[in-house]
Amino acid sequence: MAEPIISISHLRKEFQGTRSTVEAIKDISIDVMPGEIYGIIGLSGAGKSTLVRCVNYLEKPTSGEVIFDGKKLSSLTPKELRAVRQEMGMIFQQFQLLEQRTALRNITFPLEIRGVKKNEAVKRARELLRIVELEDRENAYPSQLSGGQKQRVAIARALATNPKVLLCDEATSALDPNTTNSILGLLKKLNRDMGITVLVITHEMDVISQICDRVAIIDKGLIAEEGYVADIFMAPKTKIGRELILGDAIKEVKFSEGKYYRITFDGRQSQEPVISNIVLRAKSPVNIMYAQTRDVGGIARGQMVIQLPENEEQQREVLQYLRFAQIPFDEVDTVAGSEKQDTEETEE
Amino acid sequence: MNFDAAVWKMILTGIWETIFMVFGSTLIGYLLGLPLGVVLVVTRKGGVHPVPVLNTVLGFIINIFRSIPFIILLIMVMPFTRALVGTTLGAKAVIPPLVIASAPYIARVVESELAEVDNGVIEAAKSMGASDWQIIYKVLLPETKPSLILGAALVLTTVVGYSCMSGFIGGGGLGDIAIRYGYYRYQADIMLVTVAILIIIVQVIQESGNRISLKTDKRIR
Repeated sequence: MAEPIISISHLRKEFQGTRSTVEAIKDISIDVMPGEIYGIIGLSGAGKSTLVRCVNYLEKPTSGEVIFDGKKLSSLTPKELRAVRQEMGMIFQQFQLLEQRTALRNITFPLEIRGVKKNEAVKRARELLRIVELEDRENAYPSQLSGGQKQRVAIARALATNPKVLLCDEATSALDPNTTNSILGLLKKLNRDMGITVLVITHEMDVISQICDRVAIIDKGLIAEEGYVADIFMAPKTKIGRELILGDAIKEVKFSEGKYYRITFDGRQSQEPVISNIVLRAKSPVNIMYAQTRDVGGIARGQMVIQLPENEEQQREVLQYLRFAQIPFDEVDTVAGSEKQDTEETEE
Repeated sequence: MNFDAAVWKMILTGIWETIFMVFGSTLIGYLLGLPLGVVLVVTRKGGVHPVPVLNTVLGFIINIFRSIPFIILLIMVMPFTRALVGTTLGAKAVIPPLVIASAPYIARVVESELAEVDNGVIEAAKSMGASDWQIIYKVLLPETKPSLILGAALVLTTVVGYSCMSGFIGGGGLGDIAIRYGYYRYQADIMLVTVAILIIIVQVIQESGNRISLKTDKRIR
């Protein structure tokens, strides 16, 4: 087993406010392996942006350790820390390009910091512009570029020093869906071709399911669950996990009284007419509330929210059939059923 | 007739003296005020390198200098001026008080301009391993160049006003002429001409500042 490239252990981060202390991260431990794309997802305020800033020590953790490539960040001098940061590229939701520099000179910026000779830096920047497919825009200023182009320049800039890790803080959240897909495709390509480890912070399950190998779901400063994306997508164990996977669907559906179940498909059941069988089995119609397919790790996976018949006997029949057909399912926490105790939820 | 060759020569000398005083003292003022402004921004709470105590003390001292009315400052610094340039009369003698008045003002102007830089951009530079010093001269100053130029125009026009006030203590320049002829000799026409020239100087400075600033700004396309 290889050593993790980033090892976060028992990280805690408090912010001193004027009146009270906010505990943004309570206790988080994560190991990111070299070459993987690791996702951290959570709702806003879950502590994920603070977490990624602790990884390169833009925020100093209150306690706990971050070990990057065998180096304990807490024991480094400021100078050593700056050298370590050059091995970690970072991109941001708002791109954070230098507005008074051209695309090319934005990319040479981290090289100038490192003291690389100008013509070498320019050569490297042109090479990177080619990788992010913007070779014809080297003299454009950020104000002349679209959001997606700006993020491409930011990615090229983050890669200039040949980092081992790329940290992405909500890198696609300011982009439209098509641009998001092209940026995600680029990240995936960089991961595959250059072997760079990518740590992705997002609040969008689509981002996780499209490019991540593993994911940690963060809630209220703690890890709610962690594992392979495909596993968590098929069978989330926590309420927050289910909420994030259903995403906006839960808001689109108008739930009334009754029991709702989310069932997932991974393509294996295509021989079987699942819904028809449910109806035949329970001898009662089921109501499809919501259906969607997602690309999870390159495999199309579907999810569907169905409303079960009211009769309890019929409900049992449906669930029995789902178990028999090996179709993963879990109950949807609707407003009506939200007082239900959720045993798997993380301790407070 | 007031406007003979001697008067015009005097006005020309006045123009030259005013320009010498204003640009000379602003230049020296920036040598002091620009670093002070940088220190104010960098050491403030949430800044690139917070040193709250230094920031508060420096801010307090700057406020003291900015509280002194320029006409009083002119008189207060006379001994210092004499020690430095050997006289308290003429254009050269006005430069020390102008520098003392403009440097704290420049520091505040620069501070507010540098504060425009988005914290996210500074954070990005830090994430690339930039040192505090590199953030100052590769991010803060270049990113605010257009604002700094506009600010310099603002400072120059303010210093034009100050330099004229120095006419009351025999400071030379157009203000001195306007005060001597308009106030002491009731020759309003000479005063009006010098005021008109001052208006032109201020307009030219401001307009050049606007144009250069706009030209260097890459945000607007």
